[in-house]
Amino acid sequence: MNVDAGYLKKIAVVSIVLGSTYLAIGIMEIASMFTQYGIFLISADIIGGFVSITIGLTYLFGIRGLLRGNKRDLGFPLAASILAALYFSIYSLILLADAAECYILKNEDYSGWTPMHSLRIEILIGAIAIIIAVEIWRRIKKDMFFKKIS
Amino acid sequence: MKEIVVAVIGNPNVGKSTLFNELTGAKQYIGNWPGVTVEKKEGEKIFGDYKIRFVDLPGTYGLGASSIDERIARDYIVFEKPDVIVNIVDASNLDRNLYLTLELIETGARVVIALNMMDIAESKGINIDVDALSKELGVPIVPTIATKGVGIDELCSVIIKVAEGKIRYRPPKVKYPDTIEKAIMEISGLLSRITKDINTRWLAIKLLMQDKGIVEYIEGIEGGEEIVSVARSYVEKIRSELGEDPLFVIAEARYGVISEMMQRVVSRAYVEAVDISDLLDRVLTHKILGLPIFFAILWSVFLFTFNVAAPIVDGIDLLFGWMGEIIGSWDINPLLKSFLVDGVISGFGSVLVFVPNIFFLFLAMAILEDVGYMSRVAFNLDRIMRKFGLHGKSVIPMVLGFGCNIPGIMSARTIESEEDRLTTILVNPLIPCSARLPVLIMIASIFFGRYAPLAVFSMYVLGIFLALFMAILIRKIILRGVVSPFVMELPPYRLPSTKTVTIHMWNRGSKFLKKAGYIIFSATVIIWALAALPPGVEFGGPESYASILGRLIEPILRPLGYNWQIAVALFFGFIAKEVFIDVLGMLMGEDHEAQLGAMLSPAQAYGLMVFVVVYVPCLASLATIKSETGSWKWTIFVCLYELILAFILAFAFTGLVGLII
Repeated sequence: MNVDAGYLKKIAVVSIVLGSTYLAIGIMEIASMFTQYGIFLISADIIGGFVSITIGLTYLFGIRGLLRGNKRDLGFPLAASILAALYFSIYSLILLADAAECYILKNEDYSGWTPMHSLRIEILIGAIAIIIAVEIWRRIKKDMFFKKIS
Repeated sequence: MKEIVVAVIGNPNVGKSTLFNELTGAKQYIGNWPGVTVEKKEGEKIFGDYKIRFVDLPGTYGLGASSIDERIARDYIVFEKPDVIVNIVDASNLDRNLYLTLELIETGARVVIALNMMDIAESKGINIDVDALSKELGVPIVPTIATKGVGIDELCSVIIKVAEGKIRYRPPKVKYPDTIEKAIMEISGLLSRITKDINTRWLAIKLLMQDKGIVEYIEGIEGGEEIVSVARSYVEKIRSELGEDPLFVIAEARYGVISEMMQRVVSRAYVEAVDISDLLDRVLTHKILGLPIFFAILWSVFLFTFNVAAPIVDGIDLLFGWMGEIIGSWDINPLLKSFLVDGVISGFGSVLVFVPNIFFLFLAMAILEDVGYMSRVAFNLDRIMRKFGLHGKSVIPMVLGFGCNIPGIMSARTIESEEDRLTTILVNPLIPCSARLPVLIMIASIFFGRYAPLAVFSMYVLGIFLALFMAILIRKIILRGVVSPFVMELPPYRLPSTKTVTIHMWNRGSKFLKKAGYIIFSATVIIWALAALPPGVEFGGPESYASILGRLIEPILRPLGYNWQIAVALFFGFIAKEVFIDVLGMLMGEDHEAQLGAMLSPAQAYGLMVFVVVYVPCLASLATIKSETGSWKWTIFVCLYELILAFILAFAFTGLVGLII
């Protein structure tokens, strides 16, 4: 499939879904700082919330252009997905680091720690974002990068 | 074994560092250029019967002298005369890069072109007839892909052939308008009477371009003043005849030669439809999203430095604890045991624990640099910098300041305007360097638990804000003037090279290790002696010299809630910021973190973090400020304003955080 209007619309729909999800996660992460109720997989994390909102907004900023068929606005879902992939990696590494503290170093601060304590929703959604980033990257490289001089 | 000296030169962002690393591997020596404090990097490669010594010159667009970097590159090529010059040229940006090449050829130097980034050029459908280009320029060309190590051996082999004189040069002569050619001939003839070492045609061109450095050089030679005056009269003549400054006429002629050459040697198979770097830049330099994305990426660097490195830090901490227990059980001289346990393990060891944090920070920064994102940071912050009276080029010194303020202060030398440069230097110590990172991490870990990364991050935001705030004050009150314009090139994004990133991380991280080895260990010995003497006193007890010194300073810091031990730690933190931990480790023993936790409230601890970030620059930074500004006045000014600011802010933040927590 080429990078045509149909493809751009599909990416726009994915951007709406992922953008709204990240935005909601970000708001919940910040809100959790001020409430005593924890939400499953959502950390009380003000800066983490700011990051999720930034990722969400980056997805959403590209929607209008994509729906109008502007190929250059593929940069928005691409950049958002790269950022989401970056945080997928960071949060996954933190999970591994916490596991090392608990199981290898036997750090007292980590007694009773389970992987669920460090598992964040951004790790799960980030995996989807990586697929989106790879897909857009491949498509751009294949169909959009250069036009042969005829 | 014969030795060949090779200068490596190129425009910024042509993959010079990557190629240099590929050529020299880990065999690199970092020093300073004579007379200035700009970093000089050298490396070696044994190739056949030759030892090739590569000298990495600062990235430059030409051989002018508008900045210190350009002057260093030019002086080295013209006056030091290396055996061969490797000019790294970006194949995907050939026309822009060839300007420097033409200038190099005009100096009469033996140039070899490394036509780098051939893969990117090919992917963009740019076909370069390398043989034809080589004939046009009259110099050998070796196509390379530095990121993949392609063409390195061939390059070395050509370098040797050139050094041995086995390759003949037929460099082209750029034909300038007749009026200029006539002037060049006459000035060149006059110059040949007073100088034999340097290409007189090139010198004549430089005199017509009114190059300040060359004018001064010629004036310094006997009989040179007359030649300079002849050149000045020609400049006036050219201006009246051509209606333009010779500088522009000469540059235009060179670009004309390049343009014609490009038509003959370059063909394009594709028309570029979309460049992936342009796509990403629409977002990463977006006027609304650019800054939040920058902060998001900066936060990821913090999480990587702090949380991901944590198990390694804790592992080293456990190791030192274990070593302390083992040595503590030895039956040896009590003074020696005290030195080993209280000094080396508790003091010096407590600094070494944070080595992984430093390396993780440098690794993350090296990746961001290699990807090409750092230029976007400069671009994004330029708009803000301008509002605060700082020059766009000030971003790079500030970013470097996160690693170490010394290269940050030095790199301000690329800023041409004196006011812009001074402002950048004066605010740079407010950017929290990597030496302050261990101190911040230690305090934040004790008092802020899982919010520790947030507390440390807030110090970095505070540091940036303060630097901008002070810049606006300095520009409005002391160094008034208009901020000079700034043109910036954004290199294409690329995947980071493992080798380049690793070498960058190691070069910078090893500096910390060396500093730990010399400065911090020396400080350890001094502080241990102060805590252990006079003989017979309890280590760090009320009778020790350390305590006496601390109690002298304590009254000044008492309003902030700090006791004599913290006072001594802050006092010695002036030598190197990490020494703060070293001193606390010694004076409070292995459980210094627990003691500090009991001693301060979280609000006071936050105030202490602010104090550590803001108060006086370290000794080495101050020495650099002195050498870069050439003035004791500015050096004392930095000390004083930072000290006053530290007191005010620590006091304010202690009260503010006390209200929130």
